[in-house]
Amino acid sequence: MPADPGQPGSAGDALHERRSGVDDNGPDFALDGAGFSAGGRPILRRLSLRLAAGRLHALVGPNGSGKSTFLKLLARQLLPDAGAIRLGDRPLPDFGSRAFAREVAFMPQFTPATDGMTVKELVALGRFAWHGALGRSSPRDRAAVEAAIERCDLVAFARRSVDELSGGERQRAWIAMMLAQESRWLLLDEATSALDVGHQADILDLIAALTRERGVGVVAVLHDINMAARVADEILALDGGNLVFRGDPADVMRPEVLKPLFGPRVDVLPAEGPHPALAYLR
Amino acid sequence: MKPFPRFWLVMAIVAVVVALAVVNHALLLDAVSTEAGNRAFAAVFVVRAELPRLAMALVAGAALGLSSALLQRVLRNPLAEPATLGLSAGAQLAMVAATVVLPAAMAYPTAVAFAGAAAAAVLVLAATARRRFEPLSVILTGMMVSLTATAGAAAVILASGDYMTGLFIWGGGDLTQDGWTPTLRLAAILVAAGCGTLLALRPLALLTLGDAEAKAAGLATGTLRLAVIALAVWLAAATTAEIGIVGFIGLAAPLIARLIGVRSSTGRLVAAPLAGALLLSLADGAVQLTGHLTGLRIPTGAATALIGGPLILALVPRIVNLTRPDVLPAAAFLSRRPAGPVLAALAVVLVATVALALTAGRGVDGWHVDAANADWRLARVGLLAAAGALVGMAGTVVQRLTGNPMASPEVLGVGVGAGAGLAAVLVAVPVAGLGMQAAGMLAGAVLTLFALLAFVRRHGFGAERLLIAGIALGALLSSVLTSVIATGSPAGFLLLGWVSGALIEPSWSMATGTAAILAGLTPLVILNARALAILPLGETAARSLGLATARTRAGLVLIAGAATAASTLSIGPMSFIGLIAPHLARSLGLGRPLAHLAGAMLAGAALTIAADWLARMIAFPYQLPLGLFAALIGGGYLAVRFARGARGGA
Repeated sequence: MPADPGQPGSAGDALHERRSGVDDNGPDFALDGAGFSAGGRPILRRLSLRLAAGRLHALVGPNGSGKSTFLKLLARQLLPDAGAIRLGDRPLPDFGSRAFAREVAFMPQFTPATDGMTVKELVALGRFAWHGALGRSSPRDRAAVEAAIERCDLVAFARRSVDELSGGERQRAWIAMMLAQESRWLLLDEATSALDVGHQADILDLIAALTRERGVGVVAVLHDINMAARVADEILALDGGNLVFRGDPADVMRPEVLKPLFGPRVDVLPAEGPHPALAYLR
Repeated sequence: MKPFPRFWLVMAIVAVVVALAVVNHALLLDAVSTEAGNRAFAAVFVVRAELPRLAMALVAGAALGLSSALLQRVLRNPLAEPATLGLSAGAQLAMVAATVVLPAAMAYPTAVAFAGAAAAAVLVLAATARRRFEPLSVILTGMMVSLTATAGAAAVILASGDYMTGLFIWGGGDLTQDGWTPTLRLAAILVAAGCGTLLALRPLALLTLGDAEAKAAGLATGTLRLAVIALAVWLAAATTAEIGIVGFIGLAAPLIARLIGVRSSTGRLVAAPLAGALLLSLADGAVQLTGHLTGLRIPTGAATALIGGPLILALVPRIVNLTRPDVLPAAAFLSRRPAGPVLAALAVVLVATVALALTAGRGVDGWHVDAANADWRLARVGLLAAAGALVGMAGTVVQRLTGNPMASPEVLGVGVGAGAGLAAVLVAVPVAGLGMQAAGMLAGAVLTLFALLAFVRRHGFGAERLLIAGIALGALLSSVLTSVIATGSPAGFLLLGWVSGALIEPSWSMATGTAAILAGLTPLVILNARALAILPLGETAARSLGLATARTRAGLVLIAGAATAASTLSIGPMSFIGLIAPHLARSLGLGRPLAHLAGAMLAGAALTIAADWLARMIAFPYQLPLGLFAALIGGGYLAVRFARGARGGA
């Protein structure tokens, strides 16, 4: 793992660059033959593709198709054993720990226990990438924390313990932490699958709104294909470690695309008027 | 994992065992017949000592193998075995205590050992029930129980005079036999337990699926688990009663069964005892051969630990699923309070403890409170306070950096490393002064810490691996300690005192030195406050937030290691205070890293002073070892935790 450059100027420089608005949508992700295998078994076969900043990418596919691995490679939680991944024009290993966290935030499938931490404390941790271990918390840091809490409708909970919250509220607290991190990419690994349909939709709508408001790029592993079609700008389908489909939500909601992925019993109710296309089980 | 050609591997081990037995027999016969010049005596010796010893190694190895296989199955924990769960140490403490306090009870050694082992099992399982017997927590608690029981046993032995050191030799795992009775007794128990296992085979297979599934299939999982654990505890206790603590055989046996390609879980239950029997006879043969060739009398248990420590280290990269992140959040909830008043209250308690330790005491004419002796007690109390604060600091750092509230400074192996360094100095230079002893301890602690860091570095400083590697290293080094103590030499007696936590004569220079180290390390920890807030969230979240986890963990391990080394130098290995002080601070509602740290340091200082005061007062005019009281406090704490856990539900 590369050392954090830790130069005092680096946080300020990045901030400056972003405010100048030259590179509004941030850098793209580029995979160049990136693959990953575990115990001699390929989990992800050499993928080459680009993910454009500022768009919401939904990652779908059956269990064991390599979705989570794909996401963890982007998040630098795993290192590819073949090929390379770049963010903008820099290979991922070239980023320092904090510099990378300023670009990419990752939310795992299971959020860890927080041992009595309040919502505000948790969200404030998102600023670590900016102020580091020793830097003082600036007015800008505090403003980012307040804004994130507000944006996620958590003002009433700010002083409550995260462990006390309901599943949906807790998930929102973690998303607020990622917002406070002000990274240009959000990576979500089935962040909503433990929630009921209504809360799932709330969270995903919030994320979709963020891509539009802030030009944040999102890659989200989603289990529910209908939910993915509802919010995503683009859908990537993985199967057996291969990218088998990539395109608009409208294009994925076709029986000939979904049947190879989820089995012959899956069918699609075509879109009709205000109703979107719906995948269902026969 | 590719299976070895199992037949040839087994045959090779059998061949080595037989060869060792033959060589040992020849050497023994040689020694005996030149001394006595009497072949008849030699024949008696072979029948009454040599053969029973071989048989005992086989039977005890099988018993340990079966016990571990059962424990590993029922707890779904690849590291469970009598030694790592503290069962053997519990049995040992019970037997040592019974020998000293209630010799009549020793007519039934197995029963006494069972009581001790069962108490240890109850303690470990109850303390980890709320974490649903998460393997890593079970092992950490087992290690603490084990350390405590060992310190307790050492204290009892010390308190009853040096003629009892033989007890410690036995505790090191000694297979010497003078007849067939113990072997036959253990063999009978093994056969009975084997029959019990056969009856439980089918339900056990169901249990591998998981609790909910087994219950759904109509299995009374609680009862089954209890029965199987009781069976395993009985086997472990009976073995400990006959031959003392022999660690790691139980760990290695099921593993070897897997390595030679026994796939089915039932097959492994059969293969594990066989592997255990072969392994222990192999180790014992090697120990005897060493004895014949060099005259060194190494306890077999120390030798198996010498093999077992590296074995765990080799396994570290393969160990997975020791923690269960998905089941913890609800169980680990603890409320918070404003830090100011809590810290103030803790400070008041500390001041009161200091005042008590300085003024209150017992004299020939009973209790008295006066300030007359305060002057010369001040150095002692100052040393204890500084060392206790260091232990509290180390405990907080270790628990936060591993994200595991059951971790303690002992898991770094630094304390035992210091002991091993002391042992090396005492063996090399029997007349070493205090300065040389301190230098040896320091060198041992530093070397251990760097060995741990160097090892874990290859695996990216993951919290689990850090803990497991630390435990393995600790076990390895404590076997060295046990071996030296078991020699019964003056060096061994000194070490025994150190293990039990007997305070080295305190001086002003030591007190100020320790306080200076405390003053130097505290700012370093404070600089890491943000890291200490983030690291408990785990590797994934910490990295996503931009923390350079490997480097940060390495730095924090160094700080905690230095704190542990400094406190170990002055007050010995204080097993429980490093675990309890951070817990206490946390359960008083101190949640933010710095408040938690300050609370743990205050609590650590107060607990250490209180333990020392009790150790001086309770058996006045005799001074009991400090470690014994730390152990009593620790055991009591775990028990209370259990009671509260039971009330609160899982």
